[in-house]
Amino acid sequence: MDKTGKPACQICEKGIPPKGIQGCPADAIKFDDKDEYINLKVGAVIIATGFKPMSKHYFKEYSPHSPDVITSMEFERILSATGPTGGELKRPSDGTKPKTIAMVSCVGSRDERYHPYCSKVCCMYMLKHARILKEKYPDIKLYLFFIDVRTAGKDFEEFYVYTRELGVKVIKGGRVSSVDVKPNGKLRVRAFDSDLCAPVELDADMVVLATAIEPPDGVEELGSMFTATCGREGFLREVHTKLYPVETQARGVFIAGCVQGPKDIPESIAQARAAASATAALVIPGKIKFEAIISEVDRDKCSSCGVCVPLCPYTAIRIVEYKGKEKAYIEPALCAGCGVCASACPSKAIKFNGFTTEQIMAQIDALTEA
Amino acid sequence: MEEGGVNVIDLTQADESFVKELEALGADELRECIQCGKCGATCPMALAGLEFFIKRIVHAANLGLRDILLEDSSVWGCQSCNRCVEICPMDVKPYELIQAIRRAAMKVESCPANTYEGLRNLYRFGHAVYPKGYEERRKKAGLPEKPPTAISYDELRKKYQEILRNTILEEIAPFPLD
Ligand SMILES: Cc1cc2nc3c(=O)[nH]c(=O)nc-3n(C[C@H](O)[C@H](O)[C@H](O)COP(=O)(O)OP(=O)(O)OC[C@H]3O[C@@H](n4cnc5c(N)ncnc54)[C@H](O)[C@@H]3O)c2cc1C
Ligand code: SF4
Ligand code: SF4
Ligand code: SF4
Ligand code: SF4
Repeated sequence: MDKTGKPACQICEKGIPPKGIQGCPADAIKFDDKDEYINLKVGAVIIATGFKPMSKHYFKEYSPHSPDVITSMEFERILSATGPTGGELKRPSDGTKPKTIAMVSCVGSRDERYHPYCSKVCCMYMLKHARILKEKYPDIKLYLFFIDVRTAGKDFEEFYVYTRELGVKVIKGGRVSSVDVKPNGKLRVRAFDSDLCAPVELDADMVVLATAIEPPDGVEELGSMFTATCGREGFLREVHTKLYPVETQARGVFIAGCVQGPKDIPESIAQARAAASATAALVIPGKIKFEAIISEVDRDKCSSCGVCVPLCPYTAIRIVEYKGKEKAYIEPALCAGCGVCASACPSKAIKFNGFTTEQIMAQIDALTEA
Repeated sequence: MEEGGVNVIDLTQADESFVKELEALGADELRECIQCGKCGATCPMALAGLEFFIKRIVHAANLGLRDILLEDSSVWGCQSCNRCVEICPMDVKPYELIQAIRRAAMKVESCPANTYEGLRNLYRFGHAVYPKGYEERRKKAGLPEKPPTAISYDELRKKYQEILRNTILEEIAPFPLD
């Protein structure tokens, strides 16, 4: 209700009495439900907190102060039957139906000032928006300004060609250079059309910016809670692009969807299912096999200095009570066997199995004997 | 075109009805062009350096840039070689578009003067190119004065002209059809 500014329809609760339709007959919905914090003990976690669409306000060249310059995410809401306009096409400034709409690709993507990566889904959803509009309003004029059109994958190029056939105008090599509000309220769009080999201009009633898919707010803090790390672009990082695409460096912590990088719904779902399977494989047997090459604390030697605790990249070390004293303890299920703690411990209380001091010294001796 | 500098093309002036007109005049696959550029790399117009070569013409047509296409004389430079038709991966048949634009141009008398000359010759003699004084040169080469075409056969030529008079030429020819 708050999001759309409209009262809730309450069909699920009250039904539609004049039509003899009742509310949920199974009484499955709690209408007085409240937010609450629940503490759960779990064996694995999947982080799937998605993405954030970039705000239009960074792009001063596109007149972001104009209410008729909107992001694709806002446009998606305008097109939605449950959105603020009930699915009716209206321009935000005066509620009139726009006759000409310009859509701009790669806003904030493929741009060293913001995000060097391609957001991957915008080319296709721009075509989707255009197709929905053109099928609903055949006389509407739609201009799609692309750097280039990226339609990789099954059925996508066909979708593109079909959208063109509907009369949607595609301008390539044409990331818009400016949008200016004219005194008559029109938005003057300037771009280059490399197929025409000429600069072009257009007076539009509305401009839709396909702003970049960004990592969600606070993803770094969230990741560090689970010792999952972010890559250069700020998305959570998988262990290996090909071999471990949904695993993070933290054991038992998996990622799926746009929090790992820009992707569409089919890809997000495939990843989510992969993460779910990986989780199930870990949790369902009820037992975990862990590596033999991990570190162990000899708690009788540990002086409780705590040096090792912050050093462990996998937060495997905790201080726990042992014989009435606080001592370091390494959780074997979390230890990745990096050895950092063993080399740092001033009391030599940590044994790195497989790489003990004795073993390493013996190796050095053997090598230097000759 | 007038606003904001010489070369700027104003898309606000674009006219969707022109795209529809071209489709009706034979370029019915026009919208399938994905601007891959294959035609542009083979078209003699492009190789000869014409400003509006076939790839650009297809795009301008798709945008509905009527004035540009009718004012520019490039479409009349097409050699009818049909290379573009054979090579286009989207089956756009670009040459059909050239013909459609020419048809549209004829309707509004927007073609170079020499096209009328050719058209008049075609009607009168059955040849678009009819160099003056060629009879002498033919004789020197030991050929009959006139080639064995419509020029040599008055009967056939009259029949052929009658057919032409029943076409749209009757409406648009800027010379008397007599
Ligand atoms: C304008 C636009 C149009 C698009 N159109 C299409 C399309 O037509 N087809 C297509 O395939 N893809 C489309 N996409 C891409 C699609 O939106 C994404 O692929 C998809 O949303 C990714 O799913 P996700 O679950 O990873 O993330 P999200 O959909 O972002 O979901 C993440 C969820 O996590 C919740 N969350 C975040 N933080 C926390 C937290 N700390 N605790 C609990 N919950 C949290 C969020 O509230 C959200 O509900 C479009 C994208 C945009 C921007
Ligand atoms: S998907 Fe398309 S619009 Fe989006 S950033 Fe990549 S190229 Fe640009
Ligand atoms: S060996 Fe590495 S991962 Fe294991 S407890 Fe020590 S610092 Fe942590
Ligand atoms: S070859 Fe066909 S698809 Fe490619 S640019 Fe030419 S007309 Fe368009
Ligand atoms: S038919 Fe005309 S447009 Fe096509 S390649 Fe030949 S000259 Fe170019």
